[in-house]
Amino acid sequence: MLAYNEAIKLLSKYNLDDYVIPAIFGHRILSPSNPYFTTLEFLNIINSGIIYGFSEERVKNIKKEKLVKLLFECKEDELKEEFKCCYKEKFESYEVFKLIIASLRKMQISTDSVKVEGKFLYPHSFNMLFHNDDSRRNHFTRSGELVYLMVKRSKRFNEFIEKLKTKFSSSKWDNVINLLSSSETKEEKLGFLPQNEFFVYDMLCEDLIKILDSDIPRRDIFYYFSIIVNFYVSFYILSVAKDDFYFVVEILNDKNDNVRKKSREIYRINEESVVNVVKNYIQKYNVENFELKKISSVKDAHRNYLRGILSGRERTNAYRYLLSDEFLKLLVLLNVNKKMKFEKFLELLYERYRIVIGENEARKKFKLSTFACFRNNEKRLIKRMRLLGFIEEKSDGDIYVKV
Amino acid sequence: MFFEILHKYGAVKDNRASYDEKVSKLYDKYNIPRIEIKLDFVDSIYEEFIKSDKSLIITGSAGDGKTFILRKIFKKLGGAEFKDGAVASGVTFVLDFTAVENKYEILQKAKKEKYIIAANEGILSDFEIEDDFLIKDLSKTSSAKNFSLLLDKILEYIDKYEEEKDCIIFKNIKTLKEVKSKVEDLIRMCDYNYEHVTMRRLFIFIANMILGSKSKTLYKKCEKEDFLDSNLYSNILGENLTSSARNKRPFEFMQMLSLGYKSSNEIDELILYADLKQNEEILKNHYFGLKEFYAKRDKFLENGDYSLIEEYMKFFRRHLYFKHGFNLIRYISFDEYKELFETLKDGKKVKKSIKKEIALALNRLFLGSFVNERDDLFIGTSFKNSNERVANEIIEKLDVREIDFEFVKGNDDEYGEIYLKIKNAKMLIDLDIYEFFKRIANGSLVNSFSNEFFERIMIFKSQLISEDELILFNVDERGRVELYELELGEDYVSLQ
Repeated sequence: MLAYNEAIKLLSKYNLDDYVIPAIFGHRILSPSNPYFTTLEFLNIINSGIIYGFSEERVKNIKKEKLVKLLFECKEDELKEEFKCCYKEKFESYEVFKLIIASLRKMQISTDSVKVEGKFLYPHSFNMLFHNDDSRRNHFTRSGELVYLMVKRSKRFNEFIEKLKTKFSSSKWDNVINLLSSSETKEEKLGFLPQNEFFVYDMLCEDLIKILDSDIPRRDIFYYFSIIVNFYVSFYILSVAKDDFYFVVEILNDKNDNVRKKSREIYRINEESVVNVVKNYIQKYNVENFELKKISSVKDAHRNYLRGILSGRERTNAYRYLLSDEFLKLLVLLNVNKKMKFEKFLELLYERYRIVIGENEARKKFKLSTFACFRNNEKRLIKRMRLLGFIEEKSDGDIYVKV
Repeated sequence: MFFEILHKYGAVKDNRASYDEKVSKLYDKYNIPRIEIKLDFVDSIYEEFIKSDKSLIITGSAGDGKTFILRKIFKKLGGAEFKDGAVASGVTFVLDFTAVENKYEILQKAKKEKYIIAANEGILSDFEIEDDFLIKDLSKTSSAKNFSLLLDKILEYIDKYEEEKDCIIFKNIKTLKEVKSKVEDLIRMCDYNYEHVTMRRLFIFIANMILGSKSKTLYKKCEKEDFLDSNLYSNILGENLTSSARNKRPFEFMQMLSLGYKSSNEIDELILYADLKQNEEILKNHYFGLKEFYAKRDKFLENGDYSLIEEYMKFFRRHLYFKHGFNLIRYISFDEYKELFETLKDGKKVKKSIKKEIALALNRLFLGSFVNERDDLFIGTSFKNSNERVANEIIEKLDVREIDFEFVKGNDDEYGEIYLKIKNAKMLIDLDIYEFFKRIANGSLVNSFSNEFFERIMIFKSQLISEDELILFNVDERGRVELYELELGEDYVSLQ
């Protein structure tokens, strides 16, 4: 994190009402309004970078105003007018035009947003990405910019870009999008990320590359990118707040047990560490007039980025760490090459992702009178993985994770 | 006296060392030759090894008979004292690779000199085993065949060494002789799901099937026991065992079949009113007279207390399954799968009706819609990610003839693996997934099955997806699929 006076100097160009949180975590980490938007914002900047060059200061956002109008604003009669006016030469008939528009509408990322600026397409290639004007930044909150800066500052950034270009560059929809709309650009300032180097940046980039290297079909790349990006935003927040944080993860249990208790406790400790790092900073630099309620946005972001991935409150009213099937599936796809011993898989989750599920890992982190509950937690994980087809059991008791 | 040995085999605790030792002691005590079955593939493995200049690794699960095979080969090579590290005709024997400390070195040596190594399958995946070795995986052996050979041998021993008495054990044996092929089918179902049952587990299964009860004195006194506790049928399901013993192969599988619980009104009426329908023959069994049952049944009909006949009903449903071939288990497709297996094993052509049924099921799964197409296969997917269950577009339309199968043989003539092949995509077809296809084709909904099956289909589908054109579709009232093929040109979009 930056010293306060240095932060003020660097951040003055952003016209902010608070410099403390940006100095510690970076420019605006807000809860995502949708699980896909941070990744969408991130890919938008990457797309612009590929065309206009990568910068850490500014970005030329690519907009497709006509496309947005056709897909999200035009009613049937307006579509007819549009067809008559501008698309007769490009589409065989109005029916074909309508079919294409209807198909693209089905690709809209489902959101709660009723406003046009919150509507985007599920991208199958760079051409399907676009930026909408959203002056209040309700949708593209800048977290995607921070993710971009993290990846940009990682050691394997160039490799990532090359691989992404190979896998994500074209789709059969590209022609259609080009026929429907031209692109415009609008240059804007990028957000601010304090550290130039940080281990999380490399981890994130490595996992993104692993997704690109895997057999995951192209149409699923964006989906899995979103999961891993959201996970790492939270991971980043906690890494900044506390060196030795970890997640105690419950594999959903019908009953309340010590794993659940521990998971809730560690959850609270992690949240507290986010608050403490801010409080300590204020004390250290004698910052006056800081409104403590501002911390809650970062605290909430830790939870909300993990929602549906690694946090939830199923069967209770308190938040804790819970592993979703989708994240589990991704963790296997990224880390298991053909076959791996189950214990080794648990160890890997702990060493790399700081996830504690089983007895061995729990014993390394804390003391309990009995670890039977963690053994049961492991068993529930085996059961879940078996249902997902990731488990191979040998009759001598050896259990393997397989892809 | 043989029952005592058999009981030791049935020892549910898998303490290997003491288990072998105790059994051996008993054989010696009664001066009975050890039970051994002739496995045809031992000779072929031996022949292959002799002809090759490579070392041999015998792999498989614990209790698969690896040591047994090593001992056989050791004798054939003229070895004297069989023990770990022993050498026969220049071949070094490693009996348990797991226990070897310098594993890597041994493997390196075995590339230069001839070795025979027994290794649990798991441990091998920690090493890069290249083509430098001959590898024989014993789990690719038919458990059903082993079961049949072993059971015949055990029944032969019983005839030879035990005197028949009027007791539950001999009632079990009598019943077993009548329903043997049906029990073998249950083990075959494990094979068809690639849940290999090792020799040791087969011993346990057979011993439990015959002796049943946990009581140690049972086989000595051959006491009259309540039939409900130790009859053959409930022993097969492991109902006499503790829950941890029951959760092991093959009992775990047997439990899952719902045998005795699955029924229909028609079947239950057949049982309840067998005397009135002059159909008593189907209830006759070696365990008890029907009067005992009728008395309880009459009481039940009077006061509606089902607990009076609950155990009887379970028994009779099982009896109808084993003795009279009623299909009262979870699988509706076993016979069909068996036929497919035999067809492929013999290198014959698969019936078109089977391909059509698979096409119908795949169409419903790929499109997420209740279509009735079975002559063509539609590879469909969502506009978003491939995890979404409802498809928006068709990637490709294929003729049903593009559905193909591949059969991969194992160690013996009854083991094999069936793969479904469509273009470059390949998927292992076990009995469970075949059943899934069958039920989906019959109209069941995907949500009524475990997610595992759907995931497997989606992985298969992802191998089939390549994308060039855009084909949209509509499903009409009769479940027929109409296609709209669009050509997405650089400056013009048109309907083909």
